Amino acid sequence: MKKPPRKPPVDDQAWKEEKQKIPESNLPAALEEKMQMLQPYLKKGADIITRPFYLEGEPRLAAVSIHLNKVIDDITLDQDILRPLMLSCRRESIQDLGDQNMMDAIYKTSITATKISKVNTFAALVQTIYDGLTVLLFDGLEEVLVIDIHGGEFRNIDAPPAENTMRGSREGFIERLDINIALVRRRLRDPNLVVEKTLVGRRTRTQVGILYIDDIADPQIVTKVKDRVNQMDLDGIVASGYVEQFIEDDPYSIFPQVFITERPDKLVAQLLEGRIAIIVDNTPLSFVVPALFVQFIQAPEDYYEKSFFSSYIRILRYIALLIAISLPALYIALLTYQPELIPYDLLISFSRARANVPFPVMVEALIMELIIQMVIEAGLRLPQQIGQTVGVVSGIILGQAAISAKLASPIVILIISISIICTYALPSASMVLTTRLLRLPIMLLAATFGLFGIAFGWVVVQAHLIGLESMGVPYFAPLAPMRYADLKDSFIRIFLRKMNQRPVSIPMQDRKRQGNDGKEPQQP
Amino acid sequence: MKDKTGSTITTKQLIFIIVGSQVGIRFLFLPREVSAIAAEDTWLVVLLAAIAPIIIIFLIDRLGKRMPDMGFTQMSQALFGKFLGSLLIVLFVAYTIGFESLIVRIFSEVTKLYLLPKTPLPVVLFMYVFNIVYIGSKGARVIGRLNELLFYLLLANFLVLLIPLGAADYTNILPVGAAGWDGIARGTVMAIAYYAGVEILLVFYSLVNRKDEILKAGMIATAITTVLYVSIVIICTLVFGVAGMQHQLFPALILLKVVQIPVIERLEFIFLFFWLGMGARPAINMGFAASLSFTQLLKIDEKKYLPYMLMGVGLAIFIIALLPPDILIVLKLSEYAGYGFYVVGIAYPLIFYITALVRGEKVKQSA
Repeated sequence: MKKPPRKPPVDDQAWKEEKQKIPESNLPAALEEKMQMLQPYLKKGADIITRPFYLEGEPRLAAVSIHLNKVIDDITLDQDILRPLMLSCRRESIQDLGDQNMMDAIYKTSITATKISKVNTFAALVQTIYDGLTVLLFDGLEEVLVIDIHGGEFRNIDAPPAENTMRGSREGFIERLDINIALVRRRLRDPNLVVEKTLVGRRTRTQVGILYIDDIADPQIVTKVKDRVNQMDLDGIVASGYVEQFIEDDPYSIFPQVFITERPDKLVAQLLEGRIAIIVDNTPLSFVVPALFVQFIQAPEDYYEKSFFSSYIRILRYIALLIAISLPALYIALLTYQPELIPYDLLISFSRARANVPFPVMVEALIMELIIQMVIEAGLRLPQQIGQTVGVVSGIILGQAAISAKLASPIVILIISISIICTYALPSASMVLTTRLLRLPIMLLAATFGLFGIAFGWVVVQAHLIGLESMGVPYFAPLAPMRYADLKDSFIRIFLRKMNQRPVSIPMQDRKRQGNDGKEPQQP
Repeated sequence: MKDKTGSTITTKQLIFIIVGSQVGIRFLFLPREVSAIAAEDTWLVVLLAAIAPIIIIFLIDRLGKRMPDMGFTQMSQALFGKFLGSLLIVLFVAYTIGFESLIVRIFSEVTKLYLLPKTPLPVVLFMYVFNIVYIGSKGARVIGRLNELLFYLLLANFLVLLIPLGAADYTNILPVGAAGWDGIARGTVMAIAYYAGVEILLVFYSLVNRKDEILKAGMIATAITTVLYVSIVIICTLVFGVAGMQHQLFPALILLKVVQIPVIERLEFIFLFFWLGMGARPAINMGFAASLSFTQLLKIDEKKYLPYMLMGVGLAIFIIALLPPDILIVLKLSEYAGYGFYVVGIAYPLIFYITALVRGEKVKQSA
């Protein structure tokens, strides 16, 4: 029997969209009609404030101001818009100017706010109101004045909580895009700094700012970033993480492919190397592409301190990364498969400590690893006071109790603790997550194949890293492909005076960074 | 023309690919095999044998200059016609698969011997084959970068091998010429087989972005390999003596048992741990080369079908590697594989070049 072809599902999406669409028609001249058209939209929002008023004169000109409550700056609206319009704009003086000029005259003579534009279609009008702008409707004029006096209550500029430094600026990004861009502008007064804004999200209409330096950033990558941002088609984004996940090259990779920072000074340094920054409104973070692996091991302080300390700490961080990922695995592999590699005396103390533990090494390590991950997760979202309690309970009581209950040996607690400490020694939060995730498979490989398993795991991770790209730029760049010139800012950081050229790992147009040529400063 | 953005490699990477295809697991038993014939003159023999790869690279470069944008397969078909050209490629692929099966097998045996005595051989084999397929499927660029990175690891590893020099007896290497002309000649012929891997240039030639530097890159690569080979031979001879070497299956590895370093109890484990990526490298490179040639032969989309082709090649390597019953037979077979290199590595470029000379004009017209 032949199956009847399945009926395609009724595609009512298009119809629905059509119905919801705001008509694109031009606005009528009469104020009454305009208000009539707007009525269905005004009805839906209890937070929309309409304020009718008159421009004095003979005859009086009726007008209405519409805005969203608390999204705009109330004082500015009162003092810079409504007050001059109501008190000092005389109808007689603009009587004979004609429609077009009348509008200009009104805002040129009587409104002291600065960001003003005009719209003349209904759809644009409705959208403008919901974008949080103030609109002024006048009787007899088709056009509508749009005034941007965003304001209201916001968080103040604050120290960046996740990226504190001893030296360097204490300012961190906040939730407002405009302020964030201003923070960057204040530090980078180059006329070539390009700031582009686009809207993402059909319903949330979130502003996304793309920043780059015109004569440094590679135009191909700029186009690629813009294309990827503009191709995003979803109903809403509520945080920059949405954009990150939409524009990254390989969504199946556990390694972070965009570099996140909440410090404007760090962002400026990245822009100067030819990278492209993306800042999303309502997220106190910015992110930078293309990102390289080595970047996630670098902290802004590396550049603020003398290069000896920075280089030492950087090498320590690389060691921390290795330990964080493979120390528990190494412990499992050595104790399970190659105990002869452990020095004899140490092995004796290991086995003495483990004598009472009834589990295999793998199970023991796995239990502790999972418990610690839970502790981290539990402490993460608790208020600070309770979070401390979790820390104390897990740190002292849980560890001691686990040993007394013979669930784990002191060694394994030590090993897991060291690996956790090393995990959090990494400066980048996204790399910390990767490390936490990577540790488990390497442990499993070690439990199955011993040292060979660890080597196998590393080769696969290595191959994956080498193949990874961020915006088409090799992710593992100064190491593979090897770029000798960039090695001076990877494992170590040489003197700033000697960094004459921008890193070649990131495509850029202008190679030269400074003219010091590494010479000693001239003594007068 | 190929997709230039997706699969080109730099000249620097070519150097490391050639070195990486040569120096692998056979590095560990080269001193024993060659010194069985050439005795105290092994280092000289290995040095002399380097002439072969130099000639090969020279021939391939000449050949490539005539047809710079042709892949190995296209070149072969253009020179020898559809049938014979394809047959030569099939032979090449078969040789590569056979050769790499042996390498992977030896490597798995070493791993089993030292690290995983109780794990079944197929499991270890599978993990190597997995690497070949996984890394190969990422394309030529990633192969280039991986070789680059591993080369530096190889250097670090090589430095570890210098440690046992403290136990060296410098009289072991004397007298020069102990093997006689006959021994030196036979030893050289044998040592040539250890430069197998250089034939990968046949496949990679068309992928390099700057053709004018290939000859230089090939020479540098040969120099690096020769230095590594001669050094290991000298170190082993100095430490063990010729007679001592014959009793060890993998002299370069046993070398590290000679030294005692506190805390690190057994150095050869650490060495082997890092050598794992290195040893599999020739198989990764050659497996990729074989798969690439085969996709070109079948004229299918490289980007789309290369991973599947690699899976096929990987499966073949896996099955063939399982066939020999034990390691001694495998080592014996690897000697015969050396003869395969004489055909593919030396005869191929020679025949190709002569044919190109003879049929030069015609080929240019058809291309």
